[in-house]
Amino acid sequence: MTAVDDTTTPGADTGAVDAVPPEGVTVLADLRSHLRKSKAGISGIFICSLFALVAIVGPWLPFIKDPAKQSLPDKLTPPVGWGGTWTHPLGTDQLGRDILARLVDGARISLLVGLAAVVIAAILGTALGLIAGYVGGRIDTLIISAADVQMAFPGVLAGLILVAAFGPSVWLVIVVIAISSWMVFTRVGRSLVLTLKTSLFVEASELSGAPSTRVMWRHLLPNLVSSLITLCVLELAAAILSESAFAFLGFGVQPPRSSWGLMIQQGRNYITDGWWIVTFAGLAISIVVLGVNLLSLWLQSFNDVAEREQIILERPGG
Amino acid sequence: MSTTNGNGRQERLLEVKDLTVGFPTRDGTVLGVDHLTLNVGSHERLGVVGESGSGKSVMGLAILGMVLPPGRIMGGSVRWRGEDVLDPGVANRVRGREIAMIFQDPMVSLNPLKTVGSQLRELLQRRVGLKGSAIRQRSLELLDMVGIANAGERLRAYAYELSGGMRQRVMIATALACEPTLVIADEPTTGLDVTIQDQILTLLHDLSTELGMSVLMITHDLGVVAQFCDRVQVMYAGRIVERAPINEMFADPQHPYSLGLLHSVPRADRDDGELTGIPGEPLDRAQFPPGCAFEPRCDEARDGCRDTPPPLLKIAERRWVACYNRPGEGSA
Amino acid sequence: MLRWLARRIIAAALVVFVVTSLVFVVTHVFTDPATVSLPLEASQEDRASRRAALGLDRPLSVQYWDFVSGLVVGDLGESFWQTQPASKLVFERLPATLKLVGGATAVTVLLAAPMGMLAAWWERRFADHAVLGFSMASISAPPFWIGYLLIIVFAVQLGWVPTFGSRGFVSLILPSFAIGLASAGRLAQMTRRGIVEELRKPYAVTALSRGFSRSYTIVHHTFRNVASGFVTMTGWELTRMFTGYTVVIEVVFAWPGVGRLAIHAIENRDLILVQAAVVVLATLVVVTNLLVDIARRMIDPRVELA
Repeated sequence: MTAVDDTTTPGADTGAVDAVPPEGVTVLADLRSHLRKSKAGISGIFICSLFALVAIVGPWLPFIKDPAKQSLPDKLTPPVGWGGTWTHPLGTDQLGRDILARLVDGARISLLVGLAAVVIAAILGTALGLIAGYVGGRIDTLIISAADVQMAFPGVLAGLILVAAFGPSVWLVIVVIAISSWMVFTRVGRSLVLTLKTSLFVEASELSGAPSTRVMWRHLLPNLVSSLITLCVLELAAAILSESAFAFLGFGVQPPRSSWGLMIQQGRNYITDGWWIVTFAGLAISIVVLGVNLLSLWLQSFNDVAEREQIILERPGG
Repeated sequence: MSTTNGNGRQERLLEVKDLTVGFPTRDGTVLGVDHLTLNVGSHERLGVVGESGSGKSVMGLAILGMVLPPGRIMGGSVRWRGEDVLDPGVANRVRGREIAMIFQDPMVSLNPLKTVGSQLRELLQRRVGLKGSAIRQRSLELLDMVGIANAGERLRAYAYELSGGMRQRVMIATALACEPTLVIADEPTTGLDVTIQDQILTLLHDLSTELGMSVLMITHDLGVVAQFCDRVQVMYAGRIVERAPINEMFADPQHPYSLGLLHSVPRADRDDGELTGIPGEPLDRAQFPPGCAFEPRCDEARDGCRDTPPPLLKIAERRWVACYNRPGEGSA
Repeated sequence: MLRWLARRIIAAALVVFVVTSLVFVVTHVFTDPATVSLPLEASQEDRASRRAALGLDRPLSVQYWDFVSGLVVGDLGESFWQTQPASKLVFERLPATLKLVGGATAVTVLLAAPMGMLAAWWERRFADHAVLGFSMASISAPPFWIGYLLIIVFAVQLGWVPTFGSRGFVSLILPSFAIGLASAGRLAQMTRRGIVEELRKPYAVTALSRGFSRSYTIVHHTFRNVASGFVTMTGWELTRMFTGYTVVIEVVFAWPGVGRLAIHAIENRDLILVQAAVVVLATLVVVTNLLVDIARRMIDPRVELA
């Protein structure tokens, strides 16, 4: 009956974002009640915790085999349902290694690299954003120009040149992913500081003579935290995907250690007679990234990051 | 001022009965429009007056079966010449063609990326069915009708290139494009200079007489009502609290809120010189008392006002009031 | 407009300059092409003679001047893996990469715009949820994996298209989809969101109140207003393609583009060639951003002085 109908969407702009409750307790309570209503949030949390758990305790699970144990007679055994047996539920690779065991083993690198990169980028980026927003002036200009240049010089290109110069390593991949996402945090941190800077309570504490660093930590940071957590989750999805791409290109972990991206690289020559290697490794990446994305969808609907979108849209290109 | 048609009786065009629009909030549903009842006859200029947040604008859209999200129509009926406007098929026919709306703030209510000409063209093409050169001719005629000089040139202009008064004239032209029988004007003069306000009101008044249109004027400004309308309804918190012909409303307001409204407006024709506001603040819509919504601000309030909202009762010929202190005909 | 354009071009040139200088710092200050080209166990003498042969023993300022003045005339150094000018190698491969990006952009736009409109039209109905599902799936799956899945299904199992290489239009289809699906997923959500927001704006309410249908209002009113956002996001997706997606997808499909050239150059320890490829791709990113800004201004006359 109505032509302009219904605000809330399944996606990003759910309605309950208007008021920001002041107390931390209320936020948590709201978050919990909001979660109960959100299928995306629940499935996201479920997937993420499941994969985190597997990455931590997986290798000690009784039914998980030795991921490095080769058995050439068993090579390229198909998974259950395609002629395989429960000995190797997801089949084996070209060297007869158990795919499931290798997936569990690879989870660690795949998830840790992404996580580490995002943490580094968040800390570094936010610090720069806070400084830029709070100090202003030339330092602000410098930091924001650096962020602009970084936008125009995406991480993969930096990755290519750094790998060419220093050779592949996991640490390099972490650095490269961090480099490609710090400026997102900087821009959001800065714009939030600029907004908050003018708000009354900061003015009040400055009037009362509190030193500026204390003002920054006591008042600004807590306000940033909720937006930044949301952003971290969003960037984590991108970081895990980047890690898989770098591993696939052979820039990251080197054999005999493994990650999902590397499994795809090693399995790609067998897509005709061993499609399951590539398929399951990619499925693992996709599901975990989907979990993170669902989590981020839910957080975004709770904690409006329209501001970030705005920043992306207004991004001065280069 | 009210004109009557040949039968000597006004034909009823719009009949709104018990229309209720709710907005879900964290603290439950707030009623933007609460059991609204309203009739507009042919050749009539009806005013709906109330302060901001009284649900006037929600009402305007709801009459067309439209509600801005997250609100929704929860009950009641809207009939246009007997047909149910809340039925999508009927709404599609009635909107724009029979009932056209004029919005406040034409800066944002006109499409910023379309020229005046293309906005008129799409209406004339798709809603009226004109073709070819007739479109341009009619566009020029419409702009001429609303008093825009240089019409040919203005067709190529974007809304942001026009002055405020000019934009509102364009808005009126788009409303007139389909020759509607009723125009709902939602604060059409708010935000304009006083002299321009007057021009726009005069224009609307003249057009309604010339074209025989009825107008539903939604405003917070009693001055606009006094200048423009035949009849007025006072709205408070989504409900109609008083309904009266214009002269009687100004001569003898009955509801305490109407009384307060009139006393807060400076008037040239009276020189008692005393301006009084309405005590208290406009309420947060989420915290309305279960009884009469005006009770917390009313100096005539008594215990009985707090339990259920007073019904709108007839107290004299063409006069209705919703107040326990003004018992109507037939009630005790 | 002209002054604005001049300013934007100068700014873009400046970014190219800064980016290439950063590349130079990595390739000549932190390490050098000679060291990279030799095996780790190479002797000190070998290293010194290779450095001298490449002119890397000269002062850094001289080398930097060489590098910058070379850039201006399009000289990106000599590849020692291929013993040819690096710029020639890169530009030979560029059309293939551009073709790929073009195909992927077509897939992106042709999927995203209708899906976004459909989702907004049927807001909170099945179609909306379905589009959201597609978006979530496509942005969660690694593009190179999508590439292999497409190969497994359409090339290996069904045999409809060739698996690898660049043989005409047909071979462009799978890689274009592998790249374009994720971009389409993101863009569809952005479009939907933009339209839904626009539909709440007064001008859209006016249009609806005049009796225009929801679909007419979406197509003829709101979409134009989200178009500038759409173009910006498309441009952003283009830069993603130039820098990330094409590299992996070219490897997956053995597509003879710049990205795959860079990977081969890395495998062959040819730092000069990698540097050339990176400089060209980074320039493409900057140029893309510039074009997006211009397109945006042409769509929305209000973006005057930004």
